[in-house]
Amino acid sequence: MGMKKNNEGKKKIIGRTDILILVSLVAVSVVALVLFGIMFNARGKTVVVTVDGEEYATLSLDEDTVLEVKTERGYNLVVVEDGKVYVKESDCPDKICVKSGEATELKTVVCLPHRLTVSINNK
Amino acid sequence: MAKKGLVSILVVMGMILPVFCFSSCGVLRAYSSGYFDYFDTYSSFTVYASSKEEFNSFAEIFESEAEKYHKLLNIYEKYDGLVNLASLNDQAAGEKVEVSRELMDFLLEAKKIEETTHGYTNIAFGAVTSLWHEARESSEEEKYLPNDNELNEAAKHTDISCLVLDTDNLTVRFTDCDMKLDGGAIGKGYAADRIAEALSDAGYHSFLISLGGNVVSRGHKGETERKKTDEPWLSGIEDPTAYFEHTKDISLALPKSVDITDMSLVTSGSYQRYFELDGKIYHHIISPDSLYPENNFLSVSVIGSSSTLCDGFSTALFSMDLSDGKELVESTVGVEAIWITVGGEIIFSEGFESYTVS
Amino acid sequence: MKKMNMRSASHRVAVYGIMTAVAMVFGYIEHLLPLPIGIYGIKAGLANIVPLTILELFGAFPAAVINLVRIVLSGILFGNTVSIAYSLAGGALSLVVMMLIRRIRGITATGVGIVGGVAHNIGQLIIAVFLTDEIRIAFYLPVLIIAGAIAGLLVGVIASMTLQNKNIKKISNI
Repeated sequence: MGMKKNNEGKKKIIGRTDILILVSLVAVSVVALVLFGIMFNARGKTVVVTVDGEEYATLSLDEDTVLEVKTERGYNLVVVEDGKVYVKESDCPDKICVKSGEATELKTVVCLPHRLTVSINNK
Repeated sequence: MAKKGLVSILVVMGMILPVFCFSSCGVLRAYSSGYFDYFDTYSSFTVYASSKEEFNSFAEIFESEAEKYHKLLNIYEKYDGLVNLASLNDQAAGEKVEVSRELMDFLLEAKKIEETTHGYTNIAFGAVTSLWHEARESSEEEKYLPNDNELNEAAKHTDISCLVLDTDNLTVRFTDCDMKLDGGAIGKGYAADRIAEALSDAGYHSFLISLGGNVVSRGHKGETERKKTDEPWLSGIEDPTAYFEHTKDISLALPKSVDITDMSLVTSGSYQRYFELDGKIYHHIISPDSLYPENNFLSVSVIGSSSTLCDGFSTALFSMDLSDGKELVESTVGVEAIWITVGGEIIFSEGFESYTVS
Repeated sequence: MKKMNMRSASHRVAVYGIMTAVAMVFGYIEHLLPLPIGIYGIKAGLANIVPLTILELFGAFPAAVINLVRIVLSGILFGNTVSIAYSLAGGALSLVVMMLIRRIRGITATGVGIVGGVAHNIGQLIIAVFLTDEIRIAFYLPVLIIAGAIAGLLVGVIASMTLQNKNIKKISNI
């Protein structure tokens, strides 16, 4: 056993090594936290774009993005701006997807003729 | 001493192994999927399951039931070996046609709805709705309104009592050769009810299904047979004013969401299917009174425990006067509604606000 | 207090039995503690006091057996299948790590407790990733390390103080 004993042969309750271990563990996790934060803007809300039922792209609601979806059925422009996501443009005949406005946790924006959906995932 | 050390390691391993057996009883989480193959609209579901296998089984049941009713209630396509509404429209004029138990059940339910809605939701209205369907599907350059004479003539062939059902022998016959069935007003609601039934029977306690915005939920979120929760399934009420030029500037104070736990919410809206001609909007809900789409409302949403009834009601209320509609809703137990008028006014039935969440 | 002879099997069984019961009490307290973390079933790791103390007094084998027994019994009494899985994983990893860490020069029971607490939570996190099928849970790692270190500190200090108690020394012939 490598346990430390002081002069009277009694064991210490807490020693330098222990504190060193504690401090380094905390330091490592703080660094990890910061790294995770930078890597993944983790507010948790993501935008899922599907085409034909299959996942096409995942975007973060925190990052302003412009996504062009060009398929054999047509063209849609999905925009993330100021924490909101909507379909800005589309070459479908009725443009219901554009008129639908913002996608929310309760509302998925759908472009029926292009088989496109834009929804918000809150995990 | 070494032997003790070895045994300790073995004991520790023995602690880790059982953990992998427990991997099969996983933690409950939400799975979702969406489809474009049914009822000419977007359908989706969210289910709480404890493994990918449970989710896959759910999806299989959902898909097979949805496909079954998509084919059965289709009036535009026929399928080999299947008698559906389209085949009845072809063959049942004057002749007895054998149908499945499922189709018979649908037709019986449809007759009940016609009665309850005082004829406003009538599956025998197909002769009239098909004229409007053709007008709506015509190309942009050649848009036209159906001919009044044609409409009046077609309206003579919409008497649902000409739909003769023999429940003992499972046959159907039209005594009016020019009658056509159109299940569009209650089809999605009926299918949603059947799909929810099949899923509940298969043991799923917590799910939400949507057929083109026709929503049905069961159980609370994350609920299982053993564990009850109280997190509600919520649905939003769409703002219809955003869809039309002449209503775009209206700002509506809609409820933030509606608690639809164990209920169904169905919305009929002029903004869902319409065409424009000479600056006027012609949507897809045709009134049996005027034979034209009525423009009192932008949308009507109905909440209740039967999706078939809600679907039937939302269609009927759209064509009815507000006062008649309110009377119908108030006199029907377990059904509440919200009307949004073309002027941007929101009207609730007496009990609707007990479902809203601010 | 009469001196007990730890070479006697019946004495050992008696002591281990009491320790197991004590561990189960701590386990029950753990079970009552509300989780600040969104993962259902994860435990705080305070019950580690007993395995750590046993490890120091009697060695790895008794510690492992007592740990296993108390986890299973606690789980049956007031846990569910998922929490048993978490406790097993946490307990296993924690014990193995504690066995290895003790050899570091200058470390006291407190230090072993801290590391044990962290290992306990890491074990639970690994199982959580398996059970929920979602790698995103791994993002809880920093939080769990800190929480584990704090719980482990408490465990370690209590174990440390216990080990220095005169009566304990009599029980274990140290």
